[in-house]
Amino acid sequence: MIEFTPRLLMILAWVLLGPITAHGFARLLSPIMIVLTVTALVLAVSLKRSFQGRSITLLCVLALMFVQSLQLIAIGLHIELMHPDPVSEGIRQFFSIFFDVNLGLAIAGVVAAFAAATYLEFGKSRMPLTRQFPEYQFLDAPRHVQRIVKKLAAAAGVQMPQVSLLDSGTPWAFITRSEQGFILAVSVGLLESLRPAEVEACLAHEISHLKNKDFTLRLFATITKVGLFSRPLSYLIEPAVYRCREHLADTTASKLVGGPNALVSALSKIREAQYEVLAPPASVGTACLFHSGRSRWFGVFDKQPTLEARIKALQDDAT
Amino acid sequence: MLHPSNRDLRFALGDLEAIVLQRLWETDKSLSVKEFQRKVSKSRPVAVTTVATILDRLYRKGIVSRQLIREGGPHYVYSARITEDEFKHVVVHNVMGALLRGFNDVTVAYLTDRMADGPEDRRVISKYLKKLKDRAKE
Repeated sequence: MIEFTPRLLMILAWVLLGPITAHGFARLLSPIMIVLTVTALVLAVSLKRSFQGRSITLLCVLALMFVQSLQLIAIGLHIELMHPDPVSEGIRQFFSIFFDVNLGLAIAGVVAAFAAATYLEFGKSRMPLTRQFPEYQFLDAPRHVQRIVKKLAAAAGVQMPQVSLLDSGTPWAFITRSEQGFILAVSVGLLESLRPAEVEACLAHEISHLKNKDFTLRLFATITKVGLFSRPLSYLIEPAVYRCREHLADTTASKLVGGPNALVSALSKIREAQYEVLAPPASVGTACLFHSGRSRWFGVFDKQPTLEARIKALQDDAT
Repeated sequence: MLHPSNRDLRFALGDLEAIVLQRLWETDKSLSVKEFQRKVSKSRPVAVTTVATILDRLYRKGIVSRQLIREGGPHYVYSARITEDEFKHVVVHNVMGALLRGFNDVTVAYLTDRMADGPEDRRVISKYLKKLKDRAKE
């Protein structure tokens, strides 16, 4: 029974954290994995909102990533700490398969992270809007919307993004990067179905993503996820980062427009529409105004918090 | 998505989609989202955002047409692209087309059985049978 314990431990660790680094050349890779893990930790810590009960998931991820980094350091130093007394040649071989697989995965992760960074920074973000959203038409935004965005950008202390009118009847808005820099798109549906104060609050939410430098943070989060792809837990980091920044953008927007009421009312109206019909598809790399959300259990993989959660958080802030 | 238990437009559309489309067919001019919301609210309370989303869906399904008006803030005016009869025709065409393609024999046999109940039905069926025979001769 005793000789099975290290094997069970290894399997459990593999399931939770991914294959673990071991010996020889793999040890050289440990620092890289540790750097990536620490980046994830720093990222998570920088999201102060999460400590106000905003995201329990993020706290859990933080704790587990911490355990993982400790484990990586320990293994990097000496794998025999895990099983000081290898019992048989069979088990030794069993482990070595793990180590080889892990070495491959670690190298692949670092290469993939590099590729992802290059693509996100120079490929995706340099794509024109019409290629990012081929099914939509982008028109000139009306002057009054331009004025509001200019005012909000000035208040937030960021450069004014380009403003586009999205030819869609569904109320939504998003901010994204394109070849011409940041573009804030707002749908005709949003302008025609919300009151001016509510429209302003929605625009403020998008501007807040710029103010909070969310695009840079998201880039880091994505690179971390790709780099640590062989560790299942890494898939929780990126969505958790996205969700926290979404809440933070709501808070910042409330400050920009002088209170959460307009944003709460806008989100409530959009939520009401969601009960009847589905949300439009949100593109990767885009900060979308709202998201329909999945079931409670799969919510940890969602990049956007549900509208209910956002409305509740804003109302909690107000009281 | 089809809902065979419904005996009206909701057979082929969502609840609110059917209500909105009915209101659209009732008037002969283009309406803005807000005007629609006022009309629909008479029978069922609904938010402007909901009506906007539903009309957008109907537009993407090709059932309504719309025009972007820039004056007084950008907004759409919607109008019906097809009449109620045309819509029903399309639904029947799609459903029956699919049935006839997939289960030709069963569908035809079922129709003949069901339609041969009364003298009037039999008259209709023999009319179509004659049509078929004429076509076979050509």
